[in-house]
Amino acid sequence: MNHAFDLKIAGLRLSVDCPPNTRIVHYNPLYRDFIDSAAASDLEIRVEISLESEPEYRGLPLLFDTGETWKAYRIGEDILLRLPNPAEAGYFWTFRLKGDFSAATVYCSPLMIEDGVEGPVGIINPVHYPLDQLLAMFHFSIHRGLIVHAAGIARKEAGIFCAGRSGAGKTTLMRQWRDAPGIRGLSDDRIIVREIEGVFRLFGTPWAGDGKIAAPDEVGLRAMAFIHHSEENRLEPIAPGLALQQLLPTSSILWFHRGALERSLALAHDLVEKIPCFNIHCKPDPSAIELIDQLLD
Amino acid sequence: MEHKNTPFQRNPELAARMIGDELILVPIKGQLAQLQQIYVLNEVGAFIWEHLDEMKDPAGLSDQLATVFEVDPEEAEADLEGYLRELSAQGLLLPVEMKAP
Repeated sequence: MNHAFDLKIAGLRLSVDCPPNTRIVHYNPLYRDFIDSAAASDLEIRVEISLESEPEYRGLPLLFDTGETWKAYRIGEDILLRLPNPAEAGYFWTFRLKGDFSAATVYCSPLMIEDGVEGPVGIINPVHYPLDQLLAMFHFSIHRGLIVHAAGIARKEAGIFCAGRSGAGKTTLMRQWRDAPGIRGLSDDRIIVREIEGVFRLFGTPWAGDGKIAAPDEVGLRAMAFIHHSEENRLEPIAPGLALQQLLPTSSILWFHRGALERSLALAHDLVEKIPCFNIHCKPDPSAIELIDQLLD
Repeated sequence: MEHKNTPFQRNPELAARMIGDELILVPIKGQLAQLQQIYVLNEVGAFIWEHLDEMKDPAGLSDQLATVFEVDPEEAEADLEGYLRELSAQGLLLPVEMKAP
């Protein structure tokens, strides 16, 4: 195995190795700042890319079926996730994750091989959404981290996130806010919150929305807000219980894994108890920019 | 059917979290169609949930409800019946299977 690259997301290093005489083909520019970056990392998953046939999945206990994309199976103490190719009876990749979530082997199908290029075999980078997010979900579930469907912004060393499901207006809000003085966009679709040494930190991710905002930045989490369309711009402080009811459906949680679910629930509970929570009622126009100061100050 | 006289148990396929006066129940699921269904029990529902083991004595639980929430015994009994009906309809409570003697 040869070391191919490191992908660093929110302090988690995915250390990726590939077989001899192969090379990884990166294709998504949003990942550029997350690959082989100098950012600090305190967590690691070792990822081995294989061109061998996928493990037999038929007959394994099914843990979860998204219905549209991947399926998860139990294989001994490990977990097998398979991304089928809906157009054919094949698959794109299957990965086997160790039971302690420390290492994974990714079995790439021929669909992941670059065609018609001489020299080392080109493997289209599989450690990419959704595979990298799935690995992160498992790993952060045991390391006090939570992935949230939210737009995240930062000013100096403080940040906030505004959560909402697809279509809630995250990208619209981000497009308005990113031009405000001193504001940096972390992501317009998914952020990560981690508790590190008792302090909640906010991280950008490469998993951007239509606004293509993806920054490997890290700041202290100042507040969280849940987006509601309105005819006026207004922040409404909300109780932790109401915040938790809105945070959970917008979080990427391993709903099928009891241990991971219970740990994520505990983390989300601590988060809403310790960080100020708001409903953000905003008009879908640039005037919502006036709410930034109220959230970040 | 009088639910308060039916032995129930909590559905084990749930994760529970008490936050403030409310109890949040999150199903552990295997299908996307069931995702993001979160149940929130208010103070009375949470009390019943927490004291479900005492259902061997429904009258006792009803009396506790009346005392803790300072309501008439009849109102407490009606509340208990209503919550048990609702929680079992949602699949949050399961009837206890009776074993043959």
